[in-house]
Amino acid sequence: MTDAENEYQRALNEIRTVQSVIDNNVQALEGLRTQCATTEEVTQKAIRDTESKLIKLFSRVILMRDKLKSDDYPKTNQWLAVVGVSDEAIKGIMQRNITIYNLMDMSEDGIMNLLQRYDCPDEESKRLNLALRNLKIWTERQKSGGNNTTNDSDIELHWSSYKSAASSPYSDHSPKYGSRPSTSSLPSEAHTLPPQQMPVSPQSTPSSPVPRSHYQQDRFRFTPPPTPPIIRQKPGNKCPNTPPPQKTSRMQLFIENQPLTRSKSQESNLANRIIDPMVRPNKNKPEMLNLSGSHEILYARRLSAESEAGGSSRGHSGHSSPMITSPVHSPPYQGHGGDNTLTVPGIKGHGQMMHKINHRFSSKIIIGSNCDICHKYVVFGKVCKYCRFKCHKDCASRAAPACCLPSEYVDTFLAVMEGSPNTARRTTTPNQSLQNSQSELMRPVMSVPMMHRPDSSSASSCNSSTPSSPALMMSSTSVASPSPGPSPKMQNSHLFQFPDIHVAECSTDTTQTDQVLSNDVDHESHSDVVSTITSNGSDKTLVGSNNSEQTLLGRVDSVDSQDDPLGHSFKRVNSLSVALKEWDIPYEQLQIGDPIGTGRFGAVYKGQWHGDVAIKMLHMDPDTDNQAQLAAFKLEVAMLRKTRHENLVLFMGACMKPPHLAIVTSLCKGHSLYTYIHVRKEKFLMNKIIIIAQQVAQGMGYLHAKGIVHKDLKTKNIFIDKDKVVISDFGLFNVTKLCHFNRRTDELQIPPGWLCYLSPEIIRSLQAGSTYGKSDLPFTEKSDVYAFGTVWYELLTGEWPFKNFPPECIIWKVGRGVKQSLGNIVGSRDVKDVLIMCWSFHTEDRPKFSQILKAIYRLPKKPFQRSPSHPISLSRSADPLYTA
Amino acid sequence: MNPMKKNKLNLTLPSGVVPGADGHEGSEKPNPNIESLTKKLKELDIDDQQRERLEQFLTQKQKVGELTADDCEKMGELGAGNGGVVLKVLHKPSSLVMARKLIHLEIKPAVRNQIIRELKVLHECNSPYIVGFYGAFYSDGEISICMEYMDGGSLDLILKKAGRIPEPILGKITVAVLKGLIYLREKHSIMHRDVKPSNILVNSRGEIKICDFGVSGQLIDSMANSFVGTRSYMSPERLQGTHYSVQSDIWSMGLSLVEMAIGRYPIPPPDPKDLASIFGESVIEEHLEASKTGKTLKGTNRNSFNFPSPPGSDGPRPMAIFELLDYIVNEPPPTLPKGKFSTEFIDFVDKCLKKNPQERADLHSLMSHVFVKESENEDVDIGNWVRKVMNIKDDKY
Repeated sequence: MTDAENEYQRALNEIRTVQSVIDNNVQALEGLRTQCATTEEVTQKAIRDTESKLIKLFSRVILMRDKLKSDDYPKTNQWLAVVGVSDEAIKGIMQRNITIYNLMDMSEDGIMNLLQRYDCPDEESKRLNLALRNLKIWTERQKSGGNNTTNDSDIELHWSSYKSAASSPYSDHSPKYGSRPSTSSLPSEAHTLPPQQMPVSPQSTPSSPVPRSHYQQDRFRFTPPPTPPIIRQKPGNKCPNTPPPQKTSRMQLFIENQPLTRSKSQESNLANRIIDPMVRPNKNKPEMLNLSGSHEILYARRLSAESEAGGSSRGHSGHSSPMITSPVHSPPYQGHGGDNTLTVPGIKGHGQMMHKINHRFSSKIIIGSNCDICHKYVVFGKVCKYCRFKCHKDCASRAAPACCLPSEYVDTFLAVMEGSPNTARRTTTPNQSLQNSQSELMRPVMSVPMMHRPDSSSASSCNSSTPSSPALMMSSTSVASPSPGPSPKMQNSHLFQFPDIHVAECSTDTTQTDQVLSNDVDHESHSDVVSTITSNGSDKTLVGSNNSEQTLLGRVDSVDSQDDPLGHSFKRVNSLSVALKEWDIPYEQLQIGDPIGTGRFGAVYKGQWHGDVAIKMLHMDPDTDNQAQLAAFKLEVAMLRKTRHENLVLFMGACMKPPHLAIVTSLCKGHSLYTYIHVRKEKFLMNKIIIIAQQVAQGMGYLHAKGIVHKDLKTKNIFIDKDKVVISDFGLFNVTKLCHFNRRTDELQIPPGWLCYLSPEIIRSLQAGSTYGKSDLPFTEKSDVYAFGTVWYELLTGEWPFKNFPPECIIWKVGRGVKQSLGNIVGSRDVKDVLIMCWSFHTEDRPKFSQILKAIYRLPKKPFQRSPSHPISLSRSADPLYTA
Repeated sequence: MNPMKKNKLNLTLPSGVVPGADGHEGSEKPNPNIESLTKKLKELDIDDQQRERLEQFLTQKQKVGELTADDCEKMGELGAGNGGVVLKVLHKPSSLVMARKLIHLEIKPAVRNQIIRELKVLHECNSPYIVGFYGAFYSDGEISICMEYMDGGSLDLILKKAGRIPEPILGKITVAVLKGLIYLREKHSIMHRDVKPSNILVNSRGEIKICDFGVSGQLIDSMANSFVGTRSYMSPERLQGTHYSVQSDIWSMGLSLVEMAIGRYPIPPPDPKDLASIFGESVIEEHLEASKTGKTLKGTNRNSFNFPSPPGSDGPRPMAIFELLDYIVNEPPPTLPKGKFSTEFIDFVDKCLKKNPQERADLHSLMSHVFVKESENEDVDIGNWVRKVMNIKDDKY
């Protein structure tokens, strides 16, 4: 009992302390918002930081709820006020006794509706939703993720950032910066920073130069002063980055935040970072080191790459540049120009390249660890649930935006993004290969994991361009690692000597480390290790994360080499930027001609680009998170480039620079099947029908073999060019939802004819209202098969099934398993069997395209002799079937 | 049950009613024959004030002449939905304020002309319970339908403001809708097909009128996109794709009435506790008072079924569309909470919401229902209520 009481008392005390911190921060935030010019970047920055801090604080309180058994904390009204909900709404919500916990449990729509009652503008609810989302994520992370840190969290956590990012004061800042705000903590939103940066210059080299120059500038200007992190030893007070809970005054905030800002920008690829060191000379050595190191590495790499790999240059440049820029943290060892490959930062940068999955930070009390960014002692910090990266809350914003996810998470992420059924397969293969290849790769090169990372990644991204990567590694290693050191773990333990130690590490036997690391990653046990080792923890974490990335790299490589179709997703992530680069078509090169139609996601134009092409322009919805949109778009593009089949439209490239997002394909000559059937009302003879259906099935079979779900198979997307069938618009559905469906309405917009292609399981998932919208529709290969059934029906009858029924009616019927009667089909039983199979209510009853092909092949090609005058015997499903 | 029933949507549309249908592109003349119209008005069972207003409308309409896009000056937006926006416009030549509904259609001229032609039936629809029609034209890829401007807006907007609509007002609404439906059916043999709160308009003069009925089959067919929302007013028989008739409109009306009475779309049924919390002890008096003062009634607002009923529970999520429709088809129909409304009203609604269209009351039996009879005779100042609720200051009429 007493224990429990003590416990309770302690919790209560703690919660009060935290509450006072919250109060202070709220006050500070209020001040920032009202008394400072919010147009000032510094102010915005400060606001964002404070917001992030608040999220973490709130989340902490929430986590203590269990102990306290009370819902009094955190104060819901305070939360609402801080987020910026109008007073009236707060009052209303309080009256209804809705606590923050309730809010967290509500759906976003629910929140929306709730706020709407109080006439809150949409923006408010959006903000609240974002803040809640962040809060949830953070809290969740805390709950599950034991210990460490966080980086992105800062970035992600603030809620007004979104707006500000969009509003662009920041956007020109640095790519990263721009992207940061958008980064939502949700894993599902893929952020492809690297691509973004890369695309800037279509040519291979451009990106790299930029960072370099920056780096140089920085270095010259700022490097000298920098010194290692002083503050670590004294945990609480000195570290500017750590958010001392008690700071109340605005001034303090500013001071704290400013360095952050700079550092961030620096990370992104610019100079400011180093300013930090200047501010507190001597203390930040690590940072400095990291920075310069990374730059130099990059530089070196670049050089080597450029010199060595002529052919591979494209991949190279693409990759290398981002890496270069991103690694914020390599220590700027003044003297060593290109050598230092320092670690953590490098890794992060790497991560950036590979994917843009944000850290999932959660606030933690971290005991005995140091910040991975500033290397100072951390007490209240953030820990990334996935990669165990940890840092001060304030430092989080400086962390590389991408999480070095363990592979499992990446897989999951991909699966989510793609919604494709193949995820599982993909995962396994690459994984296995990964380790092997990884160790292989690494060994020769040896060195610190971080080092590997960049190198290996570049290598992998280039696919076959081995030369560059080794070269880089070599150079970096040799330079960087003066003394052979123990394993990374060891390294970790000596936090304070960071630079040196790192070097030592580098020289360490890589293989071992790697293996260890990879194991950790795989089992996720590494997190424990990390947490246990106090002082080292941070570094370790990093290492772990490195591994995971490496793993990815390994995978990628293996995938590439095998050209495993299933592995494409990995490749996507990892070498996405490189691969995409190849397919990037500068918008200016396109000659856009007449519009030839409007698709779901925008207009389609005829155009010229080395001949006739079709250009699908994507409407960027201003309301959408541009980063997410771009990322999704790139994923789709990455997928498209792998499709090569006679019956699939030829993907030629894409414009990937916002706001001009477009997909360029060969121009489908001829008319769509839709035109033939529904506009010209042409009747096809059976042999023609069979030919068409066969080709469609062939193309679809190929897509499925490649792990691609079409998601929008319909006669409008099937073209007939002479006798050849060409399927278009596969896999674009995800993109469309981003453009279109984010509009908030109460209603689901249903394009004509769309419903009858949707299988029962999809019909049943249709939701009105945007958030649900079509985003989560369970498209699978089987749903493509269902759609094929409808195409087959159209070919046979010249009509859509359920013609003239209102949409609600179709939804109910299909959802219930009621099928279009086959009474009006002229044809044999076999012909209808195809239909019945494809339209099976249960997915498992639907055939694969290979089976369909066979079935179609068996059909008599001659026009039917039999008269259609026996509808009863023919219409097997004339009566409604209730399969549900 | 036969899913193949070819129920062309325009089955019941009057094909021959079109007067002077000459299909000049993008234009159409108001029927000049006002005298014959006035004669028709006399046949209607309407009071003097209503007749006067109708005549006034028709006289004004004569000044309008041929409608063009250029003559319409946008004054504001009244709403959007079902594939179109509705603007408040000033028709400059006549200085009339109109509601202009724009429907974007990418269609061939022939189809477009057919639509305009079909819409001309609306010139014939002159009833105190039907929103007046000025004309329709085509410009820039959009069909415009110009209608009488109703300053109170649609009942779904009103409902948002009012929380719930008090029973006395609902009584008047019921009478108007019924008479409107009867008028359409008897004079033009058409059914409405889309009765719902957003298609019932009111103004500060206290008029209640229905609009947006399926007068042009071609228009329905040509609408590029359909929209399916979180609410469906479609009758079970129609959802199932079986034959449906004007009885279907009655279901929709019944459902709308329940929604307006309890302040939220009634499917899935609200938690009884929720309902109990909305309605006070003396509901009837409260309703009476609200119908006079326009006082906002505590209501679950229309969206509230997305909202967790007891705070904290993971409340009902919005139903998937299919779930909602399946609920309508397979679950018991919604009812009004007992004790909170007059038994007559409850009974009336129950008669409208019979799932089997044969069991459902028809228009005429409903007309003679006690609830309707009593509502007809009740003295309720709808105009006053509308002005209060919608905060309309000056009576412009």
